[in-house]
Amino acid sequence: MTERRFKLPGEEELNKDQDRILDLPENGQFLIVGGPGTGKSVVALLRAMKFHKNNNYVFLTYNHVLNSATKQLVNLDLTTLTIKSWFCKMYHHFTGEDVPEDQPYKYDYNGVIKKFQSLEMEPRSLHLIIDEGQDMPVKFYESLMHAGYENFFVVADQNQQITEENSSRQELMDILGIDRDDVIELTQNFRNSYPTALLASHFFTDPASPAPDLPPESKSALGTPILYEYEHFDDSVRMILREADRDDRNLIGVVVANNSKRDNYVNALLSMDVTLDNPHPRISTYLSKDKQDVTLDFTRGGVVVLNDRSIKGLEFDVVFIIVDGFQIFNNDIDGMKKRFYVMCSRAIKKLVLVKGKGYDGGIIQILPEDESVLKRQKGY
Amino acid sequence: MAKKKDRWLFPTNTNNLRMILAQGLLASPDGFKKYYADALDLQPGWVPLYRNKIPRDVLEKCVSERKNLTQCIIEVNINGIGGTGKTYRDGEWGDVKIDDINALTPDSLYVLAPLPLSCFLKLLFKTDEDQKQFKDIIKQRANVILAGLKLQSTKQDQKLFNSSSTGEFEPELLTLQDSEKSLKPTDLTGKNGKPELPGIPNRTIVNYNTVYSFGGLLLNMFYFSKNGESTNQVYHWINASGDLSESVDKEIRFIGQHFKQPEREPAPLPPGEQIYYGLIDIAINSENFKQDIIDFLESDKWDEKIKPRVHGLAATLRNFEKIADKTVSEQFKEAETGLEKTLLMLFLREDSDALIDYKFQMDILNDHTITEELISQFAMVFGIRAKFIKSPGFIREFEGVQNYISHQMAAYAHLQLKSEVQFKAPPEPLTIMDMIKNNEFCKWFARTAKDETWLRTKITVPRGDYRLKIENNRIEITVDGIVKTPTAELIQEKYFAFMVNHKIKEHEKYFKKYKRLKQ
Repeated sequence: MTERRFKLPGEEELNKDQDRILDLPENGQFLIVGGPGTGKSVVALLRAMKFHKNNNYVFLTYNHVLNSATKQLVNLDLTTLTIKSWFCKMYHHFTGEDVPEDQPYKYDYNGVIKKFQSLEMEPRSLHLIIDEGQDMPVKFYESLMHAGYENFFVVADQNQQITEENSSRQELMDILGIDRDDVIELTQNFRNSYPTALLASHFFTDPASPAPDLPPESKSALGTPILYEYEHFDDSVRMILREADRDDRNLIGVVVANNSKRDNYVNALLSMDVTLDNPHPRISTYLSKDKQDVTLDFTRGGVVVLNDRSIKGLEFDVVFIIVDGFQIFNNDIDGMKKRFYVMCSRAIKKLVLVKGKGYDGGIIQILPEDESVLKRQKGY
Repeated sequence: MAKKKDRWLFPTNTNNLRMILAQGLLASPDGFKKYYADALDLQPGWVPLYRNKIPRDVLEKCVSERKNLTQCIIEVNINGIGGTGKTYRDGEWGDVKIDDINALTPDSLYVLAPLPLSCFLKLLFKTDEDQKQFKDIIKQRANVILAGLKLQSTKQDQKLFNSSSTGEFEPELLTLQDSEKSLKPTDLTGKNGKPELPGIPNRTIVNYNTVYSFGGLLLNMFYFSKNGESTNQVYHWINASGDLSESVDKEIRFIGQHFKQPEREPAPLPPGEQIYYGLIDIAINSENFKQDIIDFLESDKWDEKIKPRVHGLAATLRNFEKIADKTVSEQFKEAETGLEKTLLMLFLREDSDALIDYKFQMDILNDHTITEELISQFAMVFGIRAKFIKSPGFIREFEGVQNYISHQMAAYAHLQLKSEVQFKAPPEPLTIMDMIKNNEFCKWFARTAKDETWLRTKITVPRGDYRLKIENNRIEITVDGIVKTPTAELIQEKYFAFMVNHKIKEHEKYFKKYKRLKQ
């Protein structure tokens, strides 16, 4: 399988807003906001690489898969941890105790703050680079400040909040002491094509912030996402293998709703015999209960089958969303739209939604009817 | 005591410097995809060079666009530039022979843009910290390649940034930065169609997209010339360092002519060539290649006779974008023309790096679905589309390649401008195929590649009787007289089959060996 690496940006690929971020002083508090594909994580990663030589930073991500992908793609021994595991280690390092919890798995940040206050912590020069910063509560940041941390570089997108405890843009500005004019907004979508971004925007729900800019439109509408309805399960599997064979450098993301669908697809993709130009693609997966034991290889092309909760922050050359299994409960349409927003916006080159004949799960009502936004196809 | 050598300096900021290195030219602002105000704004189209000291206001202008920009200076080798430049004295612009400038008194010289990287001597920084930061930042960019350029920040260099001089002509010059006073394309043509703008230097517009595409084309062909003599010939023909044989595909000739005769118009062309013309035009100018190709093919501009064929081509490409129940090789086999195959490859792979990594299946090579000339065609259009800036960095890093191609781009731009400015050419780098023409290198290369099947050896023996002795797995021939040194010859077809999927990353190593073997 052909090697695949984090592609350093060309100088012309960074726009002036990104340049402005990369030219920011080393010390201080900074908040960067932007929608999916606007290059937030790229600037965060480049900032981490800037500090790498002096090893005075930590790059924090929300989940284990993103953490693993970041480490592998950069091909640098980056100091990167998930936010929670770093927080636990840090707290233990300073106090010799475990982080207090007010419910199982729910940190008692007031207790943390009290503890740090009692220890009268010294200021620290470590640079905290926090990706997906909107997914942590304000008290988390307050705790860090009481621990003496002063240098924050937070990238966030309010519309991609996936946790119950999170921070709004205003809350982040307030806690970091940043004026509205000093927040840097990234608006240009570098990742998605116009048709993909258009479909993703259909799932945009945040009334408090404007929808991200769409890339320029073209009349040929090439690359319009497809809702593919299969009669036989094997057809959908063969389609994924064909797509993976088309360019063996591509990383294909197959996103599923639950572990049972995940197992179905992994097994079928591994065992199906199809005539291909290249060797059978590498098929891998991850189960969230494995925590930091992420065995996915993001450095080579192939197919990765993941639950939608694990794909935040990742990007794939081609994304297949397996609609079967997604179900709207308690009429939580906004919640499901948010999940589809995150899933759709992962695709760089191509986006295909796949569903079995007759499956609904309440999902059909949230999909756009307009075929110029989502084409319908049966068989291929 | 010998007179201290003059230094000729171009002030800018580190953001622009990175773009200059990435794009391969010190261009005028319209030649930058991303540009921050600097000294180039003083007279768009002209590069101001200052002798030994830079006016303070010009240095300040270089970091005026926003906070946190960093000044830097490019020291230029004035002896590597010939022709005529402009100087501004006593309120007037005047011509000056650049060769004579060191003997004259002006503190500044304006040279028509663009300048190649090959005439840069050093990159100068205000502090050691600035230099260190620049070095660190370019490691985080895919296409900012120093290729041996020296970075420096000595005490003397640092003084260049602390100039108290405001410059004898500064007030007039600095007002030219106002956009309403800048040269615009519409301002350029005066009476009789000649460029005319009294009081300030004239200029015509460089089509930078074409210039950068020419650079991308040369870089790709330099690399792909590894595939065989035919591709090597195409590279040298485009580079104006060799001729093209009569038998070469007309499509290749057509694509090359697009750059060799840029003034050509599409109207009188036969239909097939009109498609090629459009394809190249889109490859040069489009930001969204696939969409623009489809729009172009599906347009109503086509003659009724060829419309079905052109629209059929568009339909093939649309289908190719879908997920088909066929392999890519099968789809190549079904394609009827070279143009169709070229378009399929352009839709399949997004850049030259991806084309280089493409593994051609043996069956489509054996049945001539894909040939060396067809891959030349792929490489040409991929290079044009990528331009210099998106061409694979590893090719630009080959010794001497970046400077040489940059020089060729600048020479090409000045040819467009019909300017008198010339640049001293750096040595032309040798392609793998140029080196393989050396018999000793050829044999060494085959041994190193662990494949000698694409070589045949020719032995010239004196006339007369010979005796043959067959022993185990060898044959011994005895002749009277002295046999000439055996020569190795390439079996073109076998060599191509070996080389087409072989990535050359160690050009430096090969060149070093070649030089040793030639001695």
